[in-house]
Amino acid sequence: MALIKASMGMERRAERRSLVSWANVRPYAMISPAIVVFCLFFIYPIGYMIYLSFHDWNFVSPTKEFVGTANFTHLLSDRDFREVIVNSFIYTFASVFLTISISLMLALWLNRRGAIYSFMQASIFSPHIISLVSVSMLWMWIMDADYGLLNWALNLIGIESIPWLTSPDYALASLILVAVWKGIGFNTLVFIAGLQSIPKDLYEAAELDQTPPWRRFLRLTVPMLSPTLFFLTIIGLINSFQVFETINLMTAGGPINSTNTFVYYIYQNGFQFFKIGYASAAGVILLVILSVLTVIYFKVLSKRVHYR
Amino acid sequence: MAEIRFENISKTFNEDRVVKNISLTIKDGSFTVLVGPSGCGKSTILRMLAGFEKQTEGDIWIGDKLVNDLSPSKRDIAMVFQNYALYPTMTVKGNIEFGLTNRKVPKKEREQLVGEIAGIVGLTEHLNKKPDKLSGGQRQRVALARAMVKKPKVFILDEPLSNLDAKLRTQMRTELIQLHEKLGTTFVYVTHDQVEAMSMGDEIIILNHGVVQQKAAPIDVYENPGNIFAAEFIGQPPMNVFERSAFAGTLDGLPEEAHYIGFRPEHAGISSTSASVPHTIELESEILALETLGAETIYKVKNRIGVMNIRSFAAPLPKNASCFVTIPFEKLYPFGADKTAGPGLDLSVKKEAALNGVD
Repeated sequence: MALIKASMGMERRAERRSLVSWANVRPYAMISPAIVVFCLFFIYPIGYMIYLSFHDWNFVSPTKEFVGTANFTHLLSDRDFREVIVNSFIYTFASVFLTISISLMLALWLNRRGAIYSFMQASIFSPHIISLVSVSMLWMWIMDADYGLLNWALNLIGIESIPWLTSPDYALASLILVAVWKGIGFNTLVFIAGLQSIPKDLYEAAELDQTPPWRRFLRLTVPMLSPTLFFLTIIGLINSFQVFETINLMTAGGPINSTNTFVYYIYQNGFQFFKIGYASAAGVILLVILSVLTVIYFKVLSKRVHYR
Repeated sequence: MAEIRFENISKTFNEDRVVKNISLTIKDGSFTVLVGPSGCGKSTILRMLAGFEKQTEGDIWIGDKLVNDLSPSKRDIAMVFQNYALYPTMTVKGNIEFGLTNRKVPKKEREQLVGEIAGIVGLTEHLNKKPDKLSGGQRQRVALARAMVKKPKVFILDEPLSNLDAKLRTQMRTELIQLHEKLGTTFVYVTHDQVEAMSMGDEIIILNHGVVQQKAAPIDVYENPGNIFAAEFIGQPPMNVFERSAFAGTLDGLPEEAHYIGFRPEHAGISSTSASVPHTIELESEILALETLGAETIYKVKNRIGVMNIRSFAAPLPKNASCFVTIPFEKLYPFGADKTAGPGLDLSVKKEAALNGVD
């Protein structure tokens, strides 16, 4: 009897051991495809970019000459690059700030029941589903200095034509306008979803507390929307910092470098001037800026963001 | 403090009439409980009183003020919501004083009021916490404190205990009763729980399908239910009600008007032996099921009248055994054809039934 028990115990132990090892391996086996893809298409390119940023290479030469930090020192003393940084920051902050504030106002207005409001929501959202290339073409036509719709409308009300895309004074603002036009729909929709998730009885309680509308907005709506605000700001900053299509098609970074931003600058240096090392160094700086932005936002805002 | 009057109030949602021509007076300083099953219109009545819904017809008076067109903030009421509706981004203190700040009450006075109220509801040490750090009972107290600090004429409570566990609910029930005694303000309380209604209210208003079924003190509702709905709604298990035909051969000489006869499960007796007590119906029965709850036992039994619940405080009988159920004549409740208890009907029935004492 005891013998049978002992042998059963051994069997069970052996069984358990094999189970344990498979249980240990299984999660890794399951996520390995994702890890492989992640390493191949994310980690490896980043590593290779960092490697290239310390070299001088023109894409075709068989040798990559190690130049240390020369690419970085060159970049930081380059006046064009400083302009690119300033342009990128102006573009990013202006477009994110405008998109978020206009979307929030629209969401507050459109967050009602009724056919008109649903129609408006759908209309505002429609630019989001149009490809950026089409958007760029459309706005190039609208903003054409001589034949564009915008100037025609301005002339109608007696305002002189504005060289939207052809003057260094207006070009960046014009691109921001396009970004805001395209971004508003998505942001408004997300804000409306956020507004709808705020419990209605909170507003009823606030009403009984005799809360004035502006105070209700600042003390109730904004804090309750903070997760949405946080999400849209982060996504907006990261996307805007990487703007490329509209610039490539509408202004090609010009006139006189006035709309040249980070990613377009990297593209120019890498794929037009074949200065791969130099472009990679700019890429590394972009990576650092975006990482810092993300970390700052997660650290600072997460403390003030209310998650339910 | 104020009396509340509903005059011919109706409410229609998309052709669905949820409140049907209700006229009610809620006494000044009373603890009135609106009770009824879900969809009976009790919450709608409460929301119309608060001003969140506008009645389709009729007038609502709070004190001597007609409030039909007054916004909720001007009705001098405070409400405790079912889900508390605390402002999640503000501390307990912020929640309590938010209304005061809105009304521009000076800081010193605010501090004093908040301190006072927090003391009453026992939140003094939690004033700087956010609601998500509090337990259900504490959140409930914050909601109460927020309502109390406004010193309203009327307190409206919408199922405030339904999110608490059973033990806490019992405790909060007592606390609310004491609070009402201390404040002396009119309390209007909505619940679907008959135990809450019975234990807390000075007066109970039973509603069904948007119509008031009965309005009376809890003990009155229990002892003299106005109709079959009230009889079956109050009491656990509900009153056993049968059509008069079920009593044929058991109880003769019933008056014409008595179309239904009911009796409460706790008024019937159950025993394993026949006793033949005078002025009592005795029925040989079979036990179908029983719930032993410790102090009491609830039986489901079957006999020639039908299937009925019996509540007994004696030691439990074995399941599937046969037994004898006794129902005293004086504990029978007759109801008319319209399912209401006709005035005078019961007395005559009891007398006659007792005289004719069959079985």
